[in-house]
Amino acid sequence: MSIDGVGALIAGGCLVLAATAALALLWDRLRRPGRGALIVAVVLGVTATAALEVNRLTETYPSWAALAGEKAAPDPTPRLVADHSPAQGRLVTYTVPGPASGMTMPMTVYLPAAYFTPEGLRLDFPVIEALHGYPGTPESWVRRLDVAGHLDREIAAGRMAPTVVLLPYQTPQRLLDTECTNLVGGPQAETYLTVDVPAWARGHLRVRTDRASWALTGYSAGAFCALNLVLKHPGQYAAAASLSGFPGPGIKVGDRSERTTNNVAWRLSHLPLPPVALWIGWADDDTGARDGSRAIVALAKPPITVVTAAVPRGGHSHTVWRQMEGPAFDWLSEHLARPGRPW
Amino acid sequence: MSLTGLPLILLTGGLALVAAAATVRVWRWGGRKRIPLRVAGLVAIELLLVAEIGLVVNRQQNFYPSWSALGGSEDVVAAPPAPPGRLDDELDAGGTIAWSPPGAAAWRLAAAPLLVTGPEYGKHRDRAFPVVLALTTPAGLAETRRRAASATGLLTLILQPTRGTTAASLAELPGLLRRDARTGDGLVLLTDPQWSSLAAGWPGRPPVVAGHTATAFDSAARLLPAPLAPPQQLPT
Repeated sequence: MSIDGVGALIAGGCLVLAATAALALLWDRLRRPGRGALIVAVVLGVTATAALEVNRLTETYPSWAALAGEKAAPDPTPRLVADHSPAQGRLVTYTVPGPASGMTMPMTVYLPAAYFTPEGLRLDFPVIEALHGYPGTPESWVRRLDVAGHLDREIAAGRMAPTVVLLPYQTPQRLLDTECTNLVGGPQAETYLTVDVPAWARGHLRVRTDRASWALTGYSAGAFCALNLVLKHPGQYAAAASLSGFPGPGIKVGDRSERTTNNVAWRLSHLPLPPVALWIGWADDDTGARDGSRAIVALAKPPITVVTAAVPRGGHSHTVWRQMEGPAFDWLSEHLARPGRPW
Repeated sequence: MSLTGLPLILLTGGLALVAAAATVRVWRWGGRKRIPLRVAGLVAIELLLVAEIGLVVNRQQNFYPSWSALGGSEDVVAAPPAPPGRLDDELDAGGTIAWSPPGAAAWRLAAAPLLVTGPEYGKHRDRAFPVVLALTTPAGLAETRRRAASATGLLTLILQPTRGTTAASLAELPGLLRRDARTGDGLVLLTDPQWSSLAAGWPGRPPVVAGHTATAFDSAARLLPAPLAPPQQLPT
């Protein structure tokens, strides 16, 4: 039984019902310790079932092994995590070492169907790094947002060029929010995402290496990540798409840079602006992301180009991000260089 | 009643208290209904408490600001297809045609502009093609035409400027090109060194590749996006 399946939720609900029934039935026959044990069982059952649902939404622990404390590390050999037909891309999980950052993490990679065609075998593909929210893992993109299904559809419809999409972890500790920054005395997530991950991809995948072929996207915390990293590394990325993002990281980095160099609004108002293209989307009833996104749009002046996309409602939810990911991927593809022969 | 409003939170909390009080009251009742009533009371308390915590967290974080957000919508709309270019009938076949839009005389070119397409242009009529705009000289013309004819997934516009050609005088060109051919926003300038200052002043500052060799043409083509169908857009 998977930890994020409906089966686990139903099992949790049944256990709660059983403990509740036992409490009602046995109350009169038990002394205090027995009654206390049943009350604890009910409370724990309710808490655990609610936690299962929260985890199902965020995919913080995508497996029982992850919950048991197993470090996020894939099989030593690449593992297909989705069935595929010739028209479908593949999701493969690799281990990406971090010689520069010290973070060694698994990374799920979407390889488009064209990657495996005879013509595609002679091509290098453009790349999008897709960053998850907090709490969350790359599995949030895979299971909650069906990223592979969306990419397959957009590519098959000709709205998007075949593109390799990288789904990296942003933290080695599931409940430590890095916001893709180099935390003082902590994980060096920015270095991992902007140095180690690209270096690994260039060395192991048929991807283009030039700036014009690399972009970032993300939702919620991952949207802040995408904007912050594209502004900090414009020599590496040409474009970024923000789905319900914020101008600041909302954490303490340890050197107060959350107010300066790790703050999108500060960068846009205090530093020379790089020539990057931004897609910024939000739901109008998601007031925090809406106001933050509007502030970013107001500050982003040429040579930055900005396109905005807002839906009237949907909040800060997977529903909105499922709605936005297709348009955002299409737009990114319009702003990325095409698949091309190795240079 | 608003999903994030205090009334719903107070109502849910109040119902939890009522359920708790009622459960305590029926706990010692005799008869066959005692156990079902106990279970029903406990389950009601459990559900209401979980709902109360969820409502408070949702109010703080604004995940679902309204009932409709809870249901959500995943609708997207396809952007309207790019209108066919006026010259598509000629361009669809692939090859080179002379382009003579109105006002081209003001561009003060040495020769009529040339439009070059490959066979995919006619094959993918739902897609907008990116453009290599070559600012060339008579010496570079033949090589540029050769490369343009064999290029895939793009449209090449070849201009032979003169000293009288300015970026300002070419301001109408993008609009005219979009009217006559299915072109997208992707644009790279391939420029002979003689016209580098003209290229540098191009509106929108597109990427510029110098030279008219085969390698230079390929470098320019590599910078372009693929020809793409109109993107999905969000309903507004």
